[in-house]
Amino acid sequence: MKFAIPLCAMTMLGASVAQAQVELKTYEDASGNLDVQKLTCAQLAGTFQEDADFLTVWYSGWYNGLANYSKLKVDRAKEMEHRVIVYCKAHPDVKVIKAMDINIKQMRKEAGIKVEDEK
Amino acid sequence: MYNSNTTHRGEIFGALGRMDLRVALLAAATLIASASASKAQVELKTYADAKGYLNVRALTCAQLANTYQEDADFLGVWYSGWWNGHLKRHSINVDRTKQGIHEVIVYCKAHPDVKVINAVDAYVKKVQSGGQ
Repeated sequence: MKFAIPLCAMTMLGASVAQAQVELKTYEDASGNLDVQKLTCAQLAGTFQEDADFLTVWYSGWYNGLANYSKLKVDRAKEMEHRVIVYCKAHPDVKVIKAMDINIKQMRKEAGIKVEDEK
Repeated sequence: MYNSNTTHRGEIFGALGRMDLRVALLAAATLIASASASKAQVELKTYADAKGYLNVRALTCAQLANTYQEDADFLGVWYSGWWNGHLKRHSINVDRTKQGIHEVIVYCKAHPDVKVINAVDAYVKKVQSGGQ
């Protein structure tokens, strides 16, 4: 009986975690497209780690492409990927593009990077 | 008796010598193969400039293909995002993107002199024209 309660709690916790993590395609429209401007931090944080990593790297490229930057600093991109996922876990209501923007600006500020360097 | 022993010993040493030679040749071949493989695969930062930046417009297929699989995959995803951002497209089709990255990497292995952005362009055009 003593074991029954922790076991039950663990099962509930497990079910809760399993429910929290969904595949990226859950957020796709009927054509299989995912609107990256609408995706929220809750959705990013709620997907599997591998999918979240994939998406944040994609966002990093997208953000740079939008801004017409053609340079990539791999270490910084990976650090940013990590920061955005951590930020998103703490701010589920924020959109991912906003989380990207906040973290990119923060990292630039910390490193004293000027935008011109990245063009 | 002496001769027989000497011959016998000679056969044993001869066999051992042949075995040693075989082991040595195998070891040398393995070493060469491993050296060649490690030469072929380099970290992405090898292509970075003095400030640590990688110019994604200048990167060649040979460079993409010669980096570690994990780095090539990372770069493939980043390029996909970059390409879409560049064209002001705000959506991603995850399955199609993963397929595209795989195809670009395969294409790059066969076309080392092409720039990666041109390989991506070739793939996008192929998809748009309905090619497989």
